[in-house]
Amino acid sequence: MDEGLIEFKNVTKLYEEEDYSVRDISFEIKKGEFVFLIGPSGSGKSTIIRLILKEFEPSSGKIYIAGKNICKLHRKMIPFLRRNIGCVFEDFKLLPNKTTYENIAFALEVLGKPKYEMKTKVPQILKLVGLENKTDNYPKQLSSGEQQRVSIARAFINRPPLLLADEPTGNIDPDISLEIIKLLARINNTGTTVVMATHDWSLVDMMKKRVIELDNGQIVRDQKRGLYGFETNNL
Amino acid sequence: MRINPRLFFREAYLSIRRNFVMTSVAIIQVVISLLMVGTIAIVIYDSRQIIKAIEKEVEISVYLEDDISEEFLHKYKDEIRSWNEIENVEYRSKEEAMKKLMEGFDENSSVFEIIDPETLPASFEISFKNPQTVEDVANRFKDGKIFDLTTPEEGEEEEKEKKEYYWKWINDITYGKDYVGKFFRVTNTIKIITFLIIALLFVSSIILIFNTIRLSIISRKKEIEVMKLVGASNWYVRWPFIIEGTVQGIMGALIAIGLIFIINMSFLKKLENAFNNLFPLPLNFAIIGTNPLQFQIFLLLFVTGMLIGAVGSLIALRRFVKI
Repeated sequence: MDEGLIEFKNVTKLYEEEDYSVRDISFEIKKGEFVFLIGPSGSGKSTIIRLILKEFEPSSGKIYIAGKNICKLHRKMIPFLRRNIGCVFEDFKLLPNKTTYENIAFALEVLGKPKYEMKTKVPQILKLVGLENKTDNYPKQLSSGEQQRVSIARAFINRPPLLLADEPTGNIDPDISLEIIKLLARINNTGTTVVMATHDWSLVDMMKKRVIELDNGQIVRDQKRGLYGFETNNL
Repeated sequence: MRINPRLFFREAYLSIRRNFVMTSVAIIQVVISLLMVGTIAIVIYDSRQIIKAIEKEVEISVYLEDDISEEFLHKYKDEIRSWNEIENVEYRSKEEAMKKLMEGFDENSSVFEIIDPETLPASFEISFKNPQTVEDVANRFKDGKIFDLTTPEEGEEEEKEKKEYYWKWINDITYGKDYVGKFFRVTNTIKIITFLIIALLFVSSIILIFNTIRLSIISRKKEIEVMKLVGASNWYVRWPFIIEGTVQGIMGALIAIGLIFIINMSFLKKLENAFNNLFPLPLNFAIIGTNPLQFQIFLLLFVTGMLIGAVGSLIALRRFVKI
C-alpha cells in the first residue's frame, strides 16, 4: 500500500487566462488512498484531473503514473493509460442513446471483451450500484443520482487501479450525494485509489480523508484526515 | 486486441437507427446535391452534343473552274486529303450539285427553268475533325499555300507565278466566314459556362455533404468524448463513424440515382427524342445515345457519395480523435 501511484513534480499548466491554471505543484498519491481535491472554482482541480488523463500536456514539470512519466507517453498509448483509470464527471457523460446496460457494457466492448464477459460482469456491477432494475432504461429515464451511479458502474467495471471523480455530486441532491460518496468509499475499500475533486464541504468533513486544497493554481494545504476548512462560506 | 469488425457494423447500424433524424437529414442532403449534379450534368452533356453536332456542319466548299483537268482534280484531292485537320473530302460534280440543289425544292418548281445545271460549279466539300480549324484551312487556300512548290533557289517572281498556276482552277471558296467566327465564339462561351456550372455545382455539393456529415459528427461529440474516456483506441472510435458516413453517402447516392433515372426516363428521354427528330444531325445523347453516358454519371455519383461519406467522416473526426 506504500507505492506511489500518482506523482506530480513541479507541474505547471498555463492557460491564456489565469483561471484553471496550475503553477508549480508537487504531490504524491499512494495506492489505495482516498484523496479530496478541494478549492474554489477555477482553482485548478479539474486541470489536475485532466492532466492525469493526459487530455493535454503540462507546460512544464513531470507527471508519473505507476512510476511512468506520462508526458513521454506516445499519443497512441493514451487509450491504454485511460483503460486503467475510471472516470466520473459532474455531467455523467453517459451516451443518451444507449441503455444502462449498454452504457456500462460499452467500457468492456471498447476493450474488445467478449459478450459472455459482459453478460456476467454488467449485472454484477449493476447490483453493486443498486440499479439491477434499471437495466434497460435510457439515461433520460433515470434520476441524476441514478445516472451518476451508472457512470460510476461504467468507471469501475474494469476494476481500474485508479478512479478519478470530478465534482461527482455537483448535479445531485445532498442526500443522494451521500449515497454516491459511500459508493466511492466502497470502491476505495476494494483497493482502488480514488481522487475526487469537489467543493461539497459536508462530504469532505464527513469522510475525514486526505485533503489537497488548491487556490489560484497552487497547493495551499495537504492534510491527512482533513476537513474542508474552518471557513465554510468560501464556496 | 480482439476486435470484431461485426461490432463496428452493429455499432454503426444502431447509431443510424437511433440518430434517425440526423441520419435522414444527411442522406437528404446527399440526395439533393447529387440529384442536382446528375440531372444538370446530363442536360449540359446533351446541349454540348447539340453544339458539337452543329459545329460539325461547318464545311468548306471549294468551287472549281469548269476546265479543270482530271490530273489536277486528283492532285487537289490528294493534297487536301493529306491535311491533318481534314476528316473527309468529297468531290461534288456539276450533276451532283444540281441534284443537291433540287433536294430543297419541289420538282416542278420554276427554279429549274431559270437555272441551267451547267452553270453550277463542281466542288470539293471538306469536313473537319475539329471544326474550329476551319478558318486556318480556309486561310491556307486564300494565301495560296495549297502547294508548297517553292525551293530556296527560286526567285519570288517564279514563286508567285507557280502559285497562280496552281490556283488557276479554284474559282472560290465558301465557309460562311462572317458567321463561323461568331458562331465558335458563342459555342466556346457556352462550353466554358456549362463547364463552370457543373464544376461549381460539383464542388459546392461536395462541400455541402461534407458539412452535413461534419455537423452530424459534431452533434455526437459527447459520444466520442466518452469513447475516448473509457480508453477506446482511435480506430475504434473512427470505424463506426466512417461506416455510418459511408452508408449515408451510399444511400443518398442510390436514392439520387433512382430519382435521376426516373427523371431521365420520363422527361429527358422525351426531350432527347424531340431534339433528335428536330435536327437531322448525328447526336449521341446521354440517355438514348449509343454509349449511354447516364450510367457513367450514375457510377460517378455513387463513388462520389461513398467517398465523401467516408472521407468526410474521417476529416470531421480528426478534430475530436486527436486528444
